Amino acid sequence: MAEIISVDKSAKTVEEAIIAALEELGISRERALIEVLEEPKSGLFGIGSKHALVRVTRQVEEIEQIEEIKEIDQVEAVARALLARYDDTLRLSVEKKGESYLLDIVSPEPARFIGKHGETVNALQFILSLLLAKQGLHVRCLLDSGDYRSHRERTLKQMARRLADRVSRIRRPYTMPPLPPMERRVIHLALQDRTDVKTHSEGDEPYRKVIIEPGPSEGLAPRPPRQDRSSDDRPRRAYSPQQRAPRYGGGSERRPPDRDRSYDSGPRRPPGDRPTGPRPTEVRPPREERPREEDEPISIPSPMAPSKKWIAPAAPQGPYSPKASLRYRPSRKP
Amino acid sequence: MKELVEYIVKNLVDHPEQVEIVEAKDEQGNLVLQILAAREDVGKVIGKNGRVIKAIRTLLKNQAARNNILANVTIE
Repeated sequence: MAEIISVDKSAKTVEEAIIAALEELGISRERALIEVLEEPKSGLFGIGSKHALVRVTRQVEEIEQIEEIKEIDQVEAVARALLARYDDTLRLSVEKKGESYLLDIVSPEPARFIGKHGETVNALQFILSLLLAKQGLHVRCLLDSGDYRSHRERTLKQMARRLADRVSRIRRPYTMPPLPPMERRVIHLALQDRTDVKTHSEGDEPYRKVIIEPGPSEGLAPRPPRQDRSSDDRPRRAYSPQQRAPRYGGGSERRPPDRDRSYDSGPRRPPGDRPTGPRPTEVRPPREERPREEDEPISIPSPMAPSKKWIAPAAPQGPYSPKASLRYRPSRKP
Repeated sequence: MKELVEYIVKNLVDHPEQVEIVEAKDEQGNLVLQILAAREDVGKVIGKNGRVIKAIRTLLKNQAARNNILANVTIE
Protein backbone atom coordinates (compact mmCIF):
# COMPACT_ATOMS: atom_id res chain seq x y z
CA MET A 1 0.00 0.00 0.00
CA ALA A 2 2.59 2.53 1.02
CA GLU A 3 4.84 1.39 -1.77
CA ILE A 4 2.72 2.62 -4.67
CA ILE A 5 4.73 5.32 -6.36
CA SER A 6 2.30 6.76 -8.84
CA VAL A 7 -1.36 6.39 -9.87
CA ASP A 8 -3.38 7.41 -12.88
CA LYS A 9 -6.93 8.61 -12.26
CA SER A 10 -9.63 9.84 -14.50
CA ALA A 11 -12.63 11.96 -13.53
CA LYS A 12 -14.93 14.56 -14.98
CA THR A 13 -12.64 17.43 -14.05
CA VAL A 14 -8.90 17.70 -13.45
CA GLU A 15 -9.50 18.72 -9.87
CA GLU A 16 -11.66 15.72 -9.06
CA ALA A 17 -9.11 13.35 -10.56
CA ILE A 18 -6.27 14.85 -8.52
CA ILE A 19 -8.19 14.56 -5.28
CA ALA A 20 -9.04 10.94 -5.99
CA ALA A 21 -5.43 10.11 -6.80
CA LEU A 22 -4.05 11.85 -3.69
CA GLU A 23 -6.49 9.94 -1.56
CA GLU A 24 -5.38 6.67 -3.02
CA LEU A 25 -1.72 7.47 -2.32
CA GLY A 26 -2.56 8.84 1.09
CA ILE A 27 -0.40 11.93 0.71
CA SER A 28 -1.00 15.68 0.66
CA ARG A 29 -0.80 17.83 -2.47
CA GLU A 30 2.55 19.42 -1.50
CA ARG A 31 4.27 16.05 -1.47
CA ALA A 32 3.02 14.96 -4.88
CA LEU A 33 3.99 15.60 -8.46
CA ILE A 34 0.91 16.13 -10.61
CA GLU A 35 0.81 15.67 -14.38
CA VAL A 36 -2.27 16.25 -16.44
CA LEU A 37 -2.22 13.61 -19.16
CA GLU A 38 -5.52 14.50 -20.79
CA GLU A 39 -7.62 17.63 -20.47
CA PRO A 40 -11.35 17.02 -20.19
CA LYS A 41 -13.51 17.81 -23.17
CA SER A 42 -17.05 18.77 -22.53
CA GLY A 43 -18.21 17.88 -26.07
CA LEU A 44 -21.58 18.84 -27.34
CA PHE A 45 -24.64 17.53 -25.51
CA GLY A 46 -22.57 14.72 -24.04
CA ILE A 47 -21.27 13.60 -27.40
CA GLY A 48 -17.47 13.41 -27.75
CA SER A 49 -16.89 14.35 -24.10
CA LYS A 50 -13.77 13.01 -22.44
CA HIS A 51 -12.77 12.58 -18.83
CA ALA A 52 -9.65 14.25 -17.44
CA LEU A 53 -6.70 11.93 -16.85
CA VAL A 54 -4.02 12.84 -14.33
CA ARG A 55 -0.97 11.06 -13.07
CA VAL A 56 0.02 11.74 -9.48
CA THR A 57 3.50 10.70 -8.42
CA ARG A 58 5.09 10.73 -5.03
CA GLN A 59 7.90 13.22 -4.76
CA VAL A 60 11.44 11.93 -4.70
CA GLU A 61 11.93 12.35 -0.95
CA GLU A 62 8.79 10.39 -0.40
CA ILE A 63 10.17 7.51 -2.43
CA GLU A 64 13.48 7.66 -0.60
CA GLN A 65 11.72 7.61 2.71
CA ILE A 66 9.98 4.39 1.78
CA GLU A 67 13.26 2.84 0.72
CA GLU A 68 14.88 3.89 3.96
CA ILE A 69 12.16 2.31 5.98
CA LYS A 70 12.74 -0.92 4.12
CA GLU A 71 16.52 -0.59 4.57
CA ILE A 72 16.27 -0.12 8.30
CA ASP A 73 14.19 -3.27 8.55
CA GLN A 74 16.77 -5.20 6.57
CA VAL A 75 19.58 -3.91 8.76
CA GLU A 76 17.67 -4.90 11.84
CA ALA A 77 16.87 -8.36 10.49
CA VAL A 78 20.53 -9.08 9.70
CA ALA A 79 21.66 -7.75 13.07
CA ARG A 80 19.08 -9.80 14.93
CA ALA A 81 20.03 -12.96 13.07
CA LEU A 82 23.69 -12.44 13.97
CA LEU A 83 23.06 -11.56 17.59
CA ALA A 84 20.73 -14.50 18.10
CA ARG A 85 23.62 -16.81 17.28
CA TYR A 86 26.13 -14.77 19.19
CA ASP A 87 24.54 -14.14 22.55
CA ASP A 88 20.85 -14.52 23.28
CA THR A 89 20.90 -12.23 26.32
CA LEU A 90 21.37 -9.12 24.19
CA ARG A 91 18.58 -6.68 23.40
CA LEU A 92 18.78 -4.61 20.23
CA SER A 93 17.25 -1.37 19.02
CA VAL A 94 17.95 0.26 15.65
CA GLU A 95 17.75 3.94 14.81
CA LYS A 96 18.79 6.01 11.83
CA LYS A 97 20.87 9.10 12.35
CA GLY A 98 21.97 11.01 9.29
CA GLU A 99 23.67 8.63 6.89
CA SER A 100 24.41 5.89 9.40
CA TYR A 101 22.48 3.44 11.48
CA LEU A 102 22.87 3.35 15.21
CA LEU A 103 22.39 -0.04 16.78
CA ASP A 104 22.13 0.08 20.51
CA ILE A 105 22.67 -3.14 22.34
CA VAL A 106 21.71 -3.70 25.91
CA SER A 107 23.72 -6.39 27.58
CA PRO A 108 23.55 -7.70 31.13
CA GLU A 109 27.34 -7.51 31.16
CA PRO A 110 28.26 -4.41 29.15
CA ALA A 111 31.94 -4.54 30.06
CA ARG A 112 32.36 -8.03 28.68
CA PHE A 113 30.28 -7.21 25.65
CA ILE A 114 32.30 -4.11 24.76
CA GLY A 115 35.67 -5.77 25.37
CA LYS A 116 38.99 -4.09 25.95
CA HIS A 117 38.95 -0.73 24.14
CA GLY A 118 35.75 -1.79 22.43
CA GLU A 119 37.51 -4.75 20.82
CA THR A 120 34.49 -7.02 20.82
CA VAL A 121 31.92 -4.41 19.75
CA ASN A 122 34.23 -3.35 16.96
CA ALA A 123 34.65 -6.97 15.80
CA LEU A 124 30.89 -7.44 15.86
CA GLN A 125 30.35 -4.18 14.02
CA PHE A 126 32.88 -5.18 11.37
CA ILE A 127 31.27 -8.59 10.83
CA LEU A 128 27.85 -6.97 10.69
CA SER A 129 28.90 -4.46 8.05
CA LEU A 130 30.38 -7.31 6.00
CA LEU A 131 27.16 -9.31 6.21
CA LEU A 132 25.14 -6.22 5.25
CA ALA A 133 27.43 -5.50 2.30
CA LYS A 134 26.92 -9.05 1.10
CA GLN A 135 23.18 -8.35 1.12
CA GLY A 136 23.78 -5.29 -1.01
CA LEU A 137 23.38 -2.84 1.85
CA HIS A 138 26.40 -0.59 1.79
CA VAL A 139 25.61 1.44 4.85
CA ARG A 140 27.55 2.71 7.81
CA CYS A 141 26.35 1.09 10.96
CA LEU A 142 27.53 1.87 14.45
CA LEU A 143 27.19 -0.58 17.27
CA ASP A 144 26.91 0.92 20.70
CA SER A 145 26.24 -0.41 24.11
CA GLY A 146 24.87 1.96 26.67
CA ASP A 147 26.68 5.23 26.22
CA TYR A 148 30.11 3.75 25.54
CA ARG A 149 30.63 5.49 22.21
CA SER A 150 29.00 8.77 23.08
CA HIS A 151 31.04 8.95 26.26
CA ARG A 152 34.21 8.17 24.36
CA GLU A 153 33.37 10.77 21.74
CA ARG A 154 32.87 13.42 24.40
CA THR A 155 36.20 12.52 25.96
CA LEU A 156 37.99 12.67 22.60
CA LYS A 157 36.49 16.04 21.70
CA GLN A 158 37.49 17.45 25.04
CA MET A 159 41.01 16.14 24.60
CA ALA A 160 41.20 17.53 21.04
CA ARG A 161 40.17 20.99 22.15
CA ARG A 162 42.56 21.04 25.06
CA LEU A 163 45.51 19.90 22.95
CA ALA A 164 44.65 22.32 20.16
CA ASP A 165 44.69 25.20 22.62
CA ARG A 166 48.11 24.20 23.74
CA VAL A 167 49.47 23.70 20.21
CA SER A 168 48.22 27.11 19.24
CA ARG A 169 49.84 28.60 22.35
CA ILE A 170 53.25 26.95 22.20
CA ARG A 171 53.27 26.82 18.37
CA ARG A 172 54.74 23.34 18.09
CA PRO A 173 53.10 20.29 16.57
CA TYR A 174 51.78 17.67 18.93
CA THR A 175 51.47 13.96 18.13
CA MET A 176 48.56 12.19 19.76
CA PRO A 177 48.64 8.58 20.89
CA PRO A 178 47.64 6.00 18.26
CA LEU A 179 43.88 5.84 17.78
CA PRO A 180 41.57 3.70 15.66
CA PRO A 181 40.18 5.31 12.46
CA MET A 182 36.80 6.17 13.96
CA GLU A 183 38.35 8.02 16.86
CA ARG A 184 40.81 9.87 14.63
CA ARG A 185 37.83 11.02 12.61
CA VAL A 186 36.29 12.49 15.74
CA ILE A 187 39.49 14.47 16.40
CA HIS A 188 39.71 15.76 12.80
CA LEU A 189 36.05 16.79 12.85
CA ALA A 190 36.34 18.47 16.23
CA LEU A 191 39.20 20.65 15.00
CA GLN A 192 38.24 21.22 11.36
CA ASP A 193 36.67 24.62 12.02
CA ARG A 194 39.62 25.99 13.90
CA THR A 195 41.95 28.27 11.99
CA ASP A 196 44.74 28.26 14.55
CA VAL A 197 45.53 24.55 14.18
CA LYS A 198 45.69 21.96 11.41
CA THR A 199 45.39 18.20 11.78
CA HIS A 200 46.61 15.26 9.76
CA SER A 201 47.42 11.62 10.42
CA GLU A 202 50.68 9.77 10.07
CA GLY A 203 51.83 6.21 10.48
CA ASP A 204 50.48 2.81 9.62
CA GLU A 205 47.22 1.40 10.68
CA PRO A 206 47.21 0.03 14.13
CA TYR A 207 49.54 2.84 15.22
CA ARG A 208 48.30 5.68 13.04
CA LYS A 209 48.37 8.92 14.97
CA VAL A 210 46.78 12.32 14.61
CA ILE A 211 49.21 15.22 14.56
CA ILE A 212 47.95 18.64 15.58
CA GLU A 213 50.02 21.42 14.06
CA PRO A 214 49.87 25.14 14.55
CA GLY A 215 48.14 26.84 11.65
CA PRO A 216 49.61 29.63 9.53
CA SER A 217 50.87 32.31 11.87
CA GLU A 218 49.66 35.84 11.22
CA GLY A 219 52.56 38.20 11.67
CA LEU A 220 54.17 35.80 14.08
CA ALA A 221 57.50 34.35 13.13
CA PRO A 222 57.51 30.57 13.37
CA ARG A 223 59.06 29.41 16.58
CA PRO A 224 62.70 28.50 16.12
CA PRO A 225 63.51 24.83 16.30
CA ARG A 226 64.52 23.37 19.60
CA GLN A 227 68.04 24.30 20.56
CA ASP A 228 70.74 21.75 20.25
CA ARG A 229 71.82 21.22 23.81
CA SER A 230 74.32 18.49 23.12
CA SER A 231 77.29 20.86 23.40
CA ASP A 232 76.38 22.96 26.41
CA ASP A 233 77.65 21.98 29.81
CA ARG A 234 74.68 22.62 32.02
CA PRO A 235 74.59 20.27 34.98
CA ARG A 236 72.02 17.64 34.37
CA ARG A 237 70.29 15.22 36.61
CA ALA A 238 71.51 11.67 36.37
CA TYR A 239 69.18 9.51 34.35
CA SER A 240 67.02 7.26 36.36
CA PRO A 241 63.75 5.93 34.99
CA GLN A 242 61.93 6.33 38.28
CA GLN A 243 62.94 9.94 38.82
CA ARG A 244 62.35 11.18 35.33
CA ALA A 245 60.38 14.37 35.43
CA PRO A 246 56.95 14.06 33.85
CA ARG A 247 56.65 15.82 30.56
CA TYR A 248 54.37 18.81 30.35
CA GLY A 249 53.15 18.55 33.88
CA GLY A 250 51.47 15.25 34.38
CA GLY A 251 51.87 13.86 30.90
CA SER A 252 48.43 12.35 30.92
CA GLU A 253 48.15 12.94 27.17
CA ARG A 254 51.34 11.05 26.48
CA ARG A 255 50.18 7.80 27.94
CA PRO A 256 49.68 4.85 25.63
CA PRO A 257 46.07 4.33 24.60
CA ASP A 258 45.54 1.25 26.70
CA ARG A 259 45.24 3.51 29.74
CA ASP A 260 42.79 5.80 28.09
CA ARG A 261 40.73 6.56 31.15
CA SER A 262 43.44 9.07 31.92
CA TYR A 263 42.32 11.24 29.01
CA ASP A 264 39.30 12.21 30.94
CA SER A 265 40.99 14.49 33.37
CA GLY A 266 38.02 16.78 33.48
CA PRO A 267 37.61 20.32 32.24
CA ARG A 268 40.55 22.66 32.59
CA ARG A 269 40.53 25.25 35.28
CA PRO A 270 40.47 28.79 33.98
CA PRO A 271 43.87 30.46 34.53
CA GLY A 272 42.58 32.84 37.18
CA ASP A 273 41.04 30.11 39.24
CA ARG A 274 44.15 28.89 40.92
CA PRO A 275 44.85 28.86 44.61
CA THR A 276 47.09 31.75 45.57
CA GLY A 277 49.70 31.93 48.24
CA PRO A 278 52.65 29.69 48.82
CA ARG A 279 52.42 26.11 47.75
CA PRO A 280 51.98 23.69 50.62
CA THR A 281 55.24 21.88 51.17
CA GLU A 282 55.02 18.18 50.82
CA VAL A 283 56.02 16.21 53.86
CA ARG A 284 57.37 12.87 52.88
CA PRO A 285 57.92 10.10 55.38
CA PRO A 286 61.53 8.93 55.46
CA ARG A 287 62.17 5.95 53.31
CA GLU A 288 62.67 2.69 55.08
CA GLU A 289 66.15 1.42 54.54
CA ARG A 290 66.64 -2.28 54.24
CA PRO A 291 69.81 -3.34 56.06
CA ARG A 292 72.29 -4.32 53.42
CA GLU A 293 73.94 -7.71 53.55
CA GLU A 294 77.65 -7.59 53.91
CA ASP A 295 78.60 -9.12 50.58
CA GLU A 296 75.60 -7.94 48.65
CA PRO A 297 76.70 -6.05 45.60
CA ILE A 298 75.19 -2.62 45.11
CA SER A 299 73.25 -2.89 41.93
CA ILE A 300 71.76 0.02 40.12
CA PRO A 301 69.37 -1.00 37.41
CA SER A 302 70.54 0.56 34.20
CA PRO A 303 67.95 1.29 31.57
CA MET A 304 70.38 0.17 28.91
CA ALA A 305 71.13 -3.21 30.48
CA PRO A 306 69.44 -6.15 28.81
CA SER A 307 66.42 -7.19 30.75
CA LYS A 308 66.79 -10.33 32.74
CA LYS A 309 65.64 -13.28 30.75
CA TRP A 310 62.64 -14.90 32.31
CA ILE A 311 61.50 -18.40 31.72
CA ALA A 312 57.87 -18.64 30.79
CA PRO A 313 55.95 -20.41 33.52
CA ALA A 314 54.09 -23.58 32.71
CA ALA A 315 50.80 -23.09 30.92
CA PRO A 316 47.83 -23.08 33.27
CA GLN A 317 46.03 -26.35 33.49
CA GLY A 318 42.35 -26.90 33.77
CA PRO A 319 39.48 -24.74 32.57
CA TYR A 320 40.30 -21.29 31.35
CA SER A 321 39.34 -18.32 33.39
CA PRO A 322 40.50 -14.73 32.93
CA LYS A 323 41.62 -14.56 36.56
CA ALA A 324 43.90 -17.54 36.07
CA SER A 325 45.58 -15.80 33.16
CA LEU A 326 46.26 -12.80 35.36
CA ARG A 327 47.74 -14.98 38.05
CA TYR A 328 50.17 -16.57 35.60
CA ARG A 329 51.41 -13.31 34.16
CA PRO A 330 55.13 -13.32 34.78
CA SER A 331 56.40 -10.47 36.87
CA ARG A 332 58.91 -8.15 35.24
CA LYS A 333 60.62 -7.43 38.53
CA PRO A 334 63.35 -9.86 39.36
CA MET B 1 29.45 -21.52 19.13
CA LYS B 2 29.63 -23.58 15.98
CA GLU B 3 26.37 -22.03 14.76
CA LEU B 4 27.84 -18.54 15.16
CA VAL B 5 30.91 -19.29 13.06
CA GLU B 6 28.85 -21.18 10.54
CA TYR B 7 26.37 -18.34 10.18
CA ILE B 8 29.04 -15.70 9.74
CA VAL B 9 31.10 -17.70 7.26
CA LYS B 10 28.15 -18.89 5.19
CA ASN B 11 26.89 -15.33 4.84
CA LEU B 12 30.29 -14.10 3.80
CA VAL B 13 31.33 -16.41 0.99
CA ASP B 14 30.20 -16.95 -2.58
CA HIS B 15 29.70 -20.70 -2.19
CA PRO B 16 27.97 -21.23 1.16
CA GLU B 17 27.09 -24.81 0.24
CA GLN B 18 30.78 -25.76 0.32
CA VAL B 19 31.32 -24.39 3.81
CA GLU B 20 31.81 -26.90 6.56
CA ILE B 21 32.71 -26.40 10.19
CA VAL B 22 34.49 -29.25 11.92
CA GLU B 23 34.66 -29.40 15.69
CA ALA B 24 37.86 -30.86 17.10
CA LYS B 25 39.94 -30.90 20.25
CA ASP B 26 43.58 -29.93 20.51
CA GLU B 27 46.21 -31.49 22.79
CA GLN B 28 44.98 -29.50 25.79
CA GLY B 29 41.41 -30.51 25.19
CA ASN B 30 40.34 -27.10 23.95
CA LEU B 31 37.68 -26.75 21.34
CA VAL B 32 38.96 -25.99 17.87
CA LEU B 33 36.64 -25.09 15.05
CA GLN B 34 38.00 -25.81 11.63
CA ILE B 35 36.46 -23.90 8.74
CA LEU B 36 36.44 -25.69 5.42
CA ALA B 37 35.58 -23.53 2.45
CA ALA B 38 35.95 -23.40 -1.29
CA ARG B 39 39.40 -22.37 -2.49
CA GLU B 40 38.33 -19.02 -3.85
CA ASP B 41 36.43 -18.24 -0.65
CA VAL B 42 39.34 -18.76 1.72
CA GLY B 43 40.55 -15.23 1.12
CA LYS B 44 37.12 -13.85 1.96
CA VAL B 45 37.06 -15.68 5.27
CA ILE B 46 40.53 -14.43 6.18
CA GLY B 47 40.15 -10.90 4.87
CA LYS B 48 42.68 -8.20 4.15
CA ASN B 49 45.48 -8.56 6.69
CA GLY B 50 43.40 -11.21 8.44
CA ARG B 51 40.83 -8.66 9.51
CA VAL B 52 37.82 -10.91 9.11
CA ILE B 53 39.27 -13.97 10.77
CA LYS B 54 40.61 -11.78 13.57
CA ALA B 55 37.12 -10.43 14.20
CA ILE B 56 35.65 -13.95 14.14
CA ARG B 57 38.27 -15.11 16.63
CA THR B 58 37.58 -12.15 18.89
CA LEU B 59 33.87 -12.90 18.99
CA LEU B 60 34.47 -16.59 19.52
CA LYS B 61 36.96 -15.99 22.31
CA ASN B 62 34.52 -13.67 23.99
CA GLN B 63 31.77 -16.27 23.97
CA ALA B 64 34.16 -19.06 24.88
CA ALA B 65 35.42 -17.18 27.94
CA ARG B 66 31.87 -16.89 29.17
CA ASN B 67 31.39 -20.63 28.94
CA ASN B 68 34.82 -21.34 30.40
CA ILE B 69 36.26 -23.02 27.37
CA LEU B 70 38.99 -22.05 24.98
CA ALA B 71 38.22 -21.96 21.31
CA ASN B 72 40.29 -21.40 18.24
CA VAL B 73 39.58 -21.25 14.55
CA THR B 74 41.63 -22.70 11.76
CA ILE B 75 40.95 -22.54 8.07
CA GLU B 76 41.53 -25.02 5.34
